[in-house]
Amino acid sequence: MPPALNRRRVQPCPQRSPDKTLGVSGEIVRPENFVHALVHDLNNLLTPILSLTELVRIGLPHDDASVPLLSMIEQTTLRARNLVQRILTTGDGSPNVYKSVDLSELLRKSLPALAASMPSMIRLQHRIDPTPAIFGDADELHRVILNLTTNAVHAIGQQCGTISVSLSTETNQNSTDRDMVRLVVADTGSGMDDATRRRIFQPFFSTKEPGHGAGIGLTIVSTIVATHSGSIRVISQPGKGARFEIDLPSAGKRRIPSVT
Amino acid sequence: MTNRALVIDDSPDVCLVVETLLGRLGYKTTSASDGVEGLRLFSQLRPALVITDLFMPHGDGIETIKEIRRHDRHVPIIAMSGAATTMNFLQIALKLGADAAIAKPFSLKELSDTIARSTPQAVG
Repeated sequence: MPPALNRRRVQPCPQRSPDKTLGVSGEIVRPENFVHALVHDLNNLLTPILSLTELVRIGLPHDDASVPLLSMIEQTTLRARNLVQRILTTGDGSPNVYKSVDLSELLRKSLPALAASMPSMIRLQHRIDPTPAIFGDADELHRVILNLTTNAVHAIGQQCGTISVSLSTETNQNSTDRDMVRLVVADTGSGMDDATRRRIFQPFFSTKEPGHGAGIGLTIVSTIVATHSGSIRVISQPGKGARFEIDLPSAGKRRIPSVT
Repeated sequence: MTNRALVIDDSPDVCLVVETLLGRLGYKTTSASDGVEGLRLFSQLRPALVITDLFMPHGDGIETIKEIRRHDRHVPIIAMSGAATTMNFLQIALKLGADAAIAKPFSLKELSDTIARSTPQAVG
């Protein structure tokens, strides 16, 4: 872990601004990265069980007394595979569904719960403009918000800090291309140097202590952004926080009325 | 035309299993434990098939696929992952140039079918 991540601020926390702040004190419970790493490892462990059992079975005569037993191992492993996969899915386990998503509405619904799970020393402020709809998966976009804010909480650590979330429209002036919806998650945490910044989207890269995240949270973010034909960039300096900017193409030109 | 396949996965057990399955399908196999080693072996051996994991601590599969595609537009690449269910990593792999994708764990038939989809002239 870089030394900056361990540094604590000595000044007292500023008072929260009631009009811009969400949330109450609470406990951080972020098992997501751990769960994905666990699922990855479980599936790796199931691979030899399923494949090698099958290989042994097909090498035996059909009337061999071991064949039904080996088939039972295979069937049980397949059930285990399905069970593991359900851990990674939500609701009824259906595959991702792309449809028109109002990111401003998604944020307004998500932020109170996110704020409630943050330490009381962290202030969450937001500015959500009305934006065009985007074509995407609401669950995955929620994961982006969740992972970025979780990352911001970790960057701030046990000190006072602020996480700012904003949503705006970047109008495309040059062509008939669609407008972009810009999601920004910024924090006042420890920030990072260029070497760290270049690696933060790599799988299993983490500046956290062992046991505090598998290092795939931001990989998931960048992957989801890419599958939505978007882009992500990071602006950061050591000691000066970090700012994650995500641009997602709008589904069309029409603006969605503001949610009040 | 060589029938050598290159397997890239940081799990020795998975490498062993996939090599065993590929052996049943008629392939000679070589394995690498990360993308860096995989790229080195790819340049050295020029295999007829590459099967690579996506999540690896050193030299991840996504970069490996991109790098192989920079040098060889035709070699069949199959991406595999143990955490692909909801995260679209497999779709990403396809966008980056993989010919097919498979989620771990998989059976011999699933692997065989996947190879058949990605390599019309597959061995076996």
